[in-house]
Order: sequence, then C-alpha cells, then structure tokens
Amino acid sequence: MTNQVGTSGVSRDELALHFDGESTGAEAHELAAQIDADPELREELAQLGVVRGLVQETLKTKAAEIPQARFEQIWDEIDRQLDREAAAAGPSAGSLWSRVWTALRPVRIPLAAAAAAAAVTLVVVSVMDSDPSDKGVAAENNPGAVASAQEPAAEQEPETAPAPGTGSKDAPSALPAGDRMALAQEPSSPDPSSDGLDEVDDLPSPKKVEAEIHGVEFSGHTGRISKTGTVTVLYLEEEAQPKDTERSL
Amino acid sequence: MKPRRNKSLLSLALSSLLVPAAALGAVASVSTAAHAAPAKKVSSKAEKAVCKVHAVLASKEGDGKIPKNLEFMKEWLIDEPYDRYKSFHLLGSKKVDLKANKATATAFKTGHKMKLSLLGGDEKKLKLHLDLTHRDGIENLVTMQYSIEDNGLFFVEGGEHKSGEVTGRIFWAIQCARR
Repeated sequence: MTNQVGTSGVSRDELALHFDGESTGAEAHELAAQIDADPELREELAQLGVVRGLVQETLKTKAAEIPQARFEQIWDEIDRQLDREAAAAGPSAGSLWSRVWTALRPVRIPLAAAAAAAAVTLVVVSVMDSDPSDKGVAAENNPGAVASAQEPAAEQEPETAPAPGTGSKDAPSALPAGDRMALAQEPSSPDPSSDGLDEVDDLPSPKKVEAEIHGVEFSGHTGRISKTGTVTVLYLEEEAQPKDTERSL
Repeated sequence: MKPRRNKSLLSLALSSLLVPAAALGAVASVSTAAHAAPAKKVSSKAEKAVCKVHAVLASKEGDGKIPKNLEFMKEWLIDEPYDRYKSFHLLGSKKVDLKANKATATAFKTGHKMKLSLLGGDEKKLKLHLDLTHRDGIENLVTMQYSIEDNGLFFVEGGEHKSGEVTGRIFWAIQCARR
C-alpha cells in the first residue's frame, strides 16, 4: 500500500489516529511498540506534531488579530437572537393583543399614516384657532414664532421669563427655535462643586443622527466604528484589566 | 374572498380619511414653515459651541431600568448596540465650552482625559476634533475628526471598567451644539 509508512506495515491513517489518541486497547499497545522499534514511524509521528503545532499557531495568530470587541459583538448578537426566540415563544404569543396586531398587519401602515395625519391636522387647527391673547401658548406650539416673539413676551410677562442663566442673552441664537424653547423651560443652576457631575442641563434633548467620520487614528491600539443609521459608535480597545475606581460612583 | 373584500373596504375607508387629512397637513406645514423661515437665522460658521460629555458604565448585570440621570438618552440605551446591557451608571458628566480651533481638555475620574476642539462646520453640522487618552491619562487611545448635526449624540466606547461592585464597559456620549 502507498499509504504505508516505510516498510512497517502501519498506514499513515492508523498513525494519525494513534497520534490523535483515537486508537485503543491492544491496537494502541501494538502501535506504540512498533513506533518504539521503528525510527521511520517515529519520524512520521514527529512530523505530525510539527504540522499540528503550525496549524495551531496560525489559528492563534488569526484569532489574535480579531479585536475583543468583535467577539463581544458576536456573543451579543447570539444573546439577542436567543432573547428574540424566547420572546416569540412566550405566553403572550396567543394573547388578544397579538391576535389583533396580527389581524391588522395588512393595514398597519395606512392606519399609522392616518393617525399621523390626524395628529398634524389637530395641531395645525389648534394653532390656527388660537386666540391672539393666547399668543404665549400658541408660540409654544409654533417653534418658528418663538424666535421673534419670546423676548418681548418675557419682558411683559415676568412669570414666563426664562430661568436665570438661560435667558435670551445666554440662549444660542443659532440653535433651532424649538431647542431654545426647551432651554427656557429647563432650570439651570450650575454647581461646580458637585462630585464629578457638571450641571449640563442647558442643552436640548439630543438628536438621533449619524456622525460623519473624517479621520481616525487609534494610536497603537485597535478600534472600529459602527454605524446603525441613527447612531455612530467608536469602539476602542483598552487594557482588559479592570481598574477599581470606587470613588467615582 | 370575503376577508379580501373587507380589507379593500377598510383600506378605502382609511384612504378617504387619510388623503384630505394629509393634504390639509401638508398645506398647513408649508404655511407654518413659510412664516417661521424669516425668524430663523442660522449661522453658517460655527465659532463657538458647548458640549456635554457623559461618562457611563454599561453593565450586563442589572434590572434593565434606565436611571433618571440618563433618561435623556433612553432612546439610545434601549436600542442597538446598547440594548445588550442590563444597567447603566453615570460615572461623570462634563460641560465643555469650545471656541473655534482651540482645544479644550477635560478629565474624568476614571483617569481618562478628553480633548475636544471645534474645527468649524456648516449650517447643519459641527466639525469636531477629539482626542481621548487611556485611563492612565497619558497614553493616547484615539485621535479623530468627525462631523455631526447640532445636538447629535456621538458615542465612544472604551474598555472594561470596574466601579464599586459594578463591572462593565465604559462609554462616553458626546453632545455638542453651536452657540
């Protein structure tokens, strides 16, 4: 047989099985004795060891090239998938609500659109119908009007004036009018002595938008950028050893 | 056959509601926008900005509730990629005032130091430069430039971190708006 090692009568397959520890009992003893007695078999066995070492090292090197964050992402995706499957098989699957929701599937989009249009109409009609004496109230529903009407209104009606520190002088002129309205509603009392927490409530609610990356340099570390359409996350690799910073809580 | 006819009737009824409502809504929106436009002046150049940076510890242990001081970013925390975490803990928050082309540094109690500068921008977006150090406060982790709409949130996720009994990943949420 061409598969035999030298003149030993032992095939490479048998030797490979023995190398992997898969030969058993008398067969294993016999092979071990033959290997001890035959330098050709020993050489072949040694080569198998070298090949296995090479393969292992290559795989280890490739694995090391994959950042830890990537592994975590994969496990997280598996977790999510399991959660989804568990939720799908949950007791609520046959509930009245889920049956109604399923029945409405073909008309969900028209229903949602109709509801949205009705809401817009309601808002518009209420703004149009508002009495001029209620201008302050109307302005709250009409962000565009706030930009021009807010300052005089603040002078005439002290009870609607912005909180200290967030008045018209401090309000950013370039911020969207609606955002300025939010600023006026939020109290601002900076307390620099607070424990690592600056009072930063003078910005409006954040927007769900993607960032545009122009350039990034990881300074010898690894990292990656993830975009989901509404959020951009820059992942950085830092030393794995957690550092206890109890004082920061 | 019968269900299909019912669906058609329902669709027809909804459409008859939707079309006039949408038309009225569109007309009103255009009218409102036309009135609002002259009052809204947007600076095309960003000379100053203010940013708030929240350092947050995200852990896979917890009850899934969002703490009150992070309620403002709930939408992000319950969505990918942060929905994989079960609790969030505010480690620190900083307010950073930016002037064009001038770097402003801020340090966190975790040891990380962040440098932000305003590079400019257009009507909608701010262009920013960001440097972040390792928790030793010396070694640089990243240097980058990015653009984002005013008040957009940008996230930077760092390594593992332990704070008290809580272990997780630290991330920073950066929100900037022109002034």
